[in-house]
Amino acid sequence: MSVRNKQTVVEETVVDYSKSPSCLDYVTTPVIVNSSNATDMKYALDDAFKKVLIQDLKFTEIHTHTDTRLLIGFAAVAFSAYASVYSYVVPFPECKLILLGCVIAYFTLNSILMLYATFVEKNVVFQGVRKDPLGIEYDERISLRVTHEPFAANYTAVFESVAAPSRVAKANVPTISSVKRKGGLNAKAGKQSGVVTLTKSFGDYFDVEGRLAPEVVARHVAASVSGCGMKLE
Amino acid sequence: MDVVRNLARQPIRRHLQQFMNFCLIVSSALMIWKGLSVVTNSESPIVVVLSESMEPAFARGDLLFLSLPTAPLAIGDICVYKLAGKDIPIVHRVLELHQDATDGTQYMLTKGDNNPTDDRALYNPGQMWIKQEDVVGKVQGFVPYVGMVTIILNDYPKFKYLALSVMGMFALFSKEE
Repeated sequence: MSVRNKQTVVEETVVDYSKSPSCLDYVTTPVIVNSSNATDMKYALDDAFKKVLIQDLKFTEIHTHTDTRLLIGFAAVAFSAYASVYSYVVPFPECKLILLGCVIAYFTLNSILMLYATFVEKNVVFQGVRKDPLGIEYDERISLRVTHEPFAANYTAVFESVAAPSRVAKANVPTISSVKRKGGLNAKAGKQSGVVTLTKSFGDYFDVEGRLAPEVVARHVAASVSGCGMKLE
Repeated sequence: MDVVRNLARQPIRRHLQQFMNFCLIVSSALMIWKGLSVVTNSESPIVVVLSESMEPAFARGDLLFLSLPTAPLAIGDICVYKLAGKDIPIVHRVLELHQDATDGTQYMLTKGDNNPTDDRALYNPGQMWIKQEDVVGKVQGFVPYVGMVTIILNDYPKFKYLALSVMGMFALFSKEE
């Protein structure tokens, strides 16, 4: 259902977002969620934002947080599986020591997992990178954090673009891949790091029946990304 | 079904995460049980009373909490012991306690409070006593009636599968908050 919104904001160029890849996707598979369930809406909106970032703005997702959590989680499960098999094979008094070791390892890994999700990952929804195919320009990295109070209708998205690594800042900024830079220190000093906070409410994106308006999402995401100092294409 | 189509569309990492959440729930339950068994030093730290042989102290369906202390048992202690070759343990009281003067092994005779005679009728043929290694644990406390759930689930296994599948559905189809 593509709804043509009237442009209420004066923009430099009027871009028709309804033809962007993510919006076309939504025409075939529209997103309809339960409009009374804030969690559903938050997840649907998270996914919509990610879709725009990946399909329209051509970011590639960085899966580090998810992969780390999966690794820790499956390691914990492996310990518990080993413990159960071992205690089945070896009768009780002899298996006690190994069992104790596995139990401690399991609960330690579980706590590490929870601490990781709470303190390291926090509310990061998306981390992406855009590499220059020629290898001349810097990688553009963006991270999207979303906060949302449990029963409120607001949705706060913080777009943060990490500063492009320069010779000075290289020590502080982790890079995913090393990009061979030609020439001296960046002539493209126009890339700065930027933080854009988008404070919206669910009503800006969903109608009463819970249908998502994809062009609004695309427009807001594009505006925030360009606000961070990055090109849109 | 919409739900199934949604499942198929999601990327592999999300499937892995949901599967991992399910595994973590199951493993947590398992590890808590094993941890309890290590702490109490007993193979099966929580057992359910199945017979009325310990009335009026324990009724059928009571939950018993066991532990195996390093100190030897005393007369009057209620212990849970397993006979060789039989897998259901028995909860009875220690009636007599003898110690071999040469090697110090303990020989115990047990009897259920509600039984007319001692347990020699229950022991294996030729066995007159039970020893420390047959004992699974000593009863430290109990909770009445709660064990009836386990008895019902065991008598009607369909309920067990139903409960497990409902919990599995919940874990798979709900997103964490």
